[in-house]
Amino acid sequence: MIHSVELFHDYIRDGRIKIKEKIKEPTTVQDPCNVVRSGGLAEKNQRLAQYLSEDFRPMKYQGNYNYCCAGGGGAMPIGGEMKKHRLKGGKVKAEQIRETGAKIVFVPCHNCIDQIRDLSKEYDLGIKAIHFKEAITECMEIPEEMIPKDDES
Amino acid sequence: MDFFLFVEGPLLWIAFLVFIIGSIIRVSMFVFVSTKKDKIIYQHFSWKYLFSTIIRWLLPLNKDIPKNPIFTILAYIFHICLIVVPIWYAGHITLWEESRFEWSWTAMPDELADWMTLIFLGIAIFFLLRRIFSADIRLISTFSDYFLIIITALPFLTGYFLTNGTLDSITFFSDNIQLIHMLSGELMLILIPFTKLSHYILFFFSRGASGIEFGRRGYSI
Amino acid sequence: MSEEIKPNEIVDFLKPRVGARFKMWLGICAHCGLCANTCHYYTANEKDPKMIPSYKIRFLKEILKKKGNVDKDYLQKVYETVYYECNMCRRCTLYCPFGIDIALMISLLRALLFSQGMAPEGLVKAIENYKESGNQMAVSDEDWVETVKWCEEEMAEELVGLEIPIDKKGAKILYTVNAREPMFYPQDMMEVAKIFYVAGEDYTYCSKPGWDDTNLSMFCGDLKTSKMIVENTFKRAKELEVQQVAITE
Ligand code: SF4
Ligand code: SF4
Repeated sequence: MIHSVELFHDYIRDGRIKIKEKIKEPTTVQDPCNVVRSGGLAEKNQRLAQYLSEDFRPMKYQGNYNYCCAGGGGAMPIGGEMKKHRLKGGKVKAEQIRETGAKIVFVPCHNCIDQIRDLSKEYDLGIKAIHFKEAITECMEIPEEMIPKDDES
Repeated sequence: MDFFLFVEGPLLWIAFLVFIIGSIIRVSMFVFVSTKKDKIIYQHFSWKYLFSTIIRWLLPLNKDIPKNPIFTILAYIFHICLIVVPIWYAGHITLWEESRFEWSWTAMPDELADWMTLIFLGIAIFFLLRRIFSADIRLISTFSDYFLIIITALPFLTGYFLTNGTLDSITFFSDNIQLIHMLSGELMLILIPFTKLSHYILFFFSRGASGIEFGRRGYSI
Repeated sequence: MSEEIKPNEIVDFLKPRVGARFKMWLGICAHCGLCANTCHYYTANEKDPKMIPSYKIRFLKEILKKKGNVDKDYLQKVYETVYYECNMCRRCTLYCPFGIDIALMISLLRALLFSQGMAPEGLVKAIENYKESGNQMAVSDEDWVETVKWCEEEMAEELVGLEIPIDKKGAKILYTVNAREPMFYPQDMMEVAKIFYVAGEDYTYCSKPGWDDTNLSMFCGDLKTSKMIVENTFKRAKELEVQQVAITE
């Protein structure tokens, strides 16, 4: 089992993917419980975020000791009956994100990203939550031969 | 004074035996049952994570120190006094020397023992008040939590009275304080294996189990 | 539901599952409260003492002590605690001096509730989907393959020669996704295709059940379905002779 955060991190570290331009806006990264605390990818997760951004701002407790977004443990897919509780519990995460002043939050987890988008609405954070893959596709250098030529003519 | 002789002799033996054998039973029960029901520990067994987590929490190297500094540091001091005073107090060592084992080791200065006892009692009172007055802790406290603080503090309190003769003006105490001191100590020893006080030894197993659980995820807690 | 709760059923369920660690933890928790301010539910609810992690597992101790003699209302209370007040994130464990794993005990309580027919509808539905189709959204195998093909077409316009391999034998990596991706976020699959292509990764999707890497049944303690899902993926991995299974973000 390998998580894509690790794959992507290794691609960039090993130069299989080159970063053309880093993200200029302040960024931070969420540590999804199942990737970081229970997945052991704390370092790679943070380093991947740093590879991709010029102004990376760690959260307080970044890493293994980070707070949960309150969307985990099945809280997201449970749906309606849980919504009230998870928005309430997510206050801590919302404040954490606000504290960093980041405008973009990398969220390498489908659960967390839905939750953090909801939190952004609920607590008016004005942030954009994106997956790493989105950022990588935007920032990476695409080899010459892969770029379609017919557009230029 | 037949009762005194009983408390000084056989009951002391009983208390120590219950303490030692009880602890051994608690531990072997854990080991025995865990090999059947908690195989995960052994599948991922690692001395490295086992030791690193135990050391981190025996020494004040963990994340609780910055988070709750006052409580954690008091808890460390509390436990140090609790272990050091009964073992290195000169009066106790004399008893070991006079016993059939004739064991002997260097004693701590009496004055230090006195101070540590007072500090210990102070912290015990703080813990008790905290349990009573903090809404958080009150909610999670059970009867045994209050009871066991008192049980643990009693030998120290009576020991202090005994060595300093604080209550000697009251005849009942001047006659019986040594008896009460021994009884309270024996009571504590006997209760250890049956209550949460067993954490003195299960701590190592609990930390080990969790250390391995997180170790297999690649980091030490 | 009006059926009676049978204490012996509860005891029979718990007995083989309450391991040595659980017993020890319930026995030695010092009720010290150090775990209180580690839980986001506690902090977010104005330090409500009821949200202390140690308090949440009192149910397990009580049920064991009462030998399963509890009623429906009681279980309803357990339900509200284990679902609405805990994400099983394990943060409290890192701060507990004994390393007591609250989340593990919460998941046992969830499993107990599941065995008594109590589970959130959202999860129950997902479980039905898993059993039927092998993925949480009940996407049929045909639709899934079609979605992958469609992503490939879209992406081939952007990058010359891009292909998305399906069922490629001997690939290095079997890539699995969250079933929400083909349903709601095909964009995600396109992006990852791009990354893999540029990085020159030797990967493949699989066309049969096993391509969904979520495991929602785990959250309500349905271990049987949970096992089936994991086995599906490993079966595919074996069939395709891949070295590794990769899971999406
Ligand atoms: S920190 Fe650990 S020992 Fe203390 S109350 Fe919480 S679970 Fe119990
Ligand atoms: S595992 Fe549950 S109780 Fe512990 S910190 Fe996370 S949400 Fe709170």
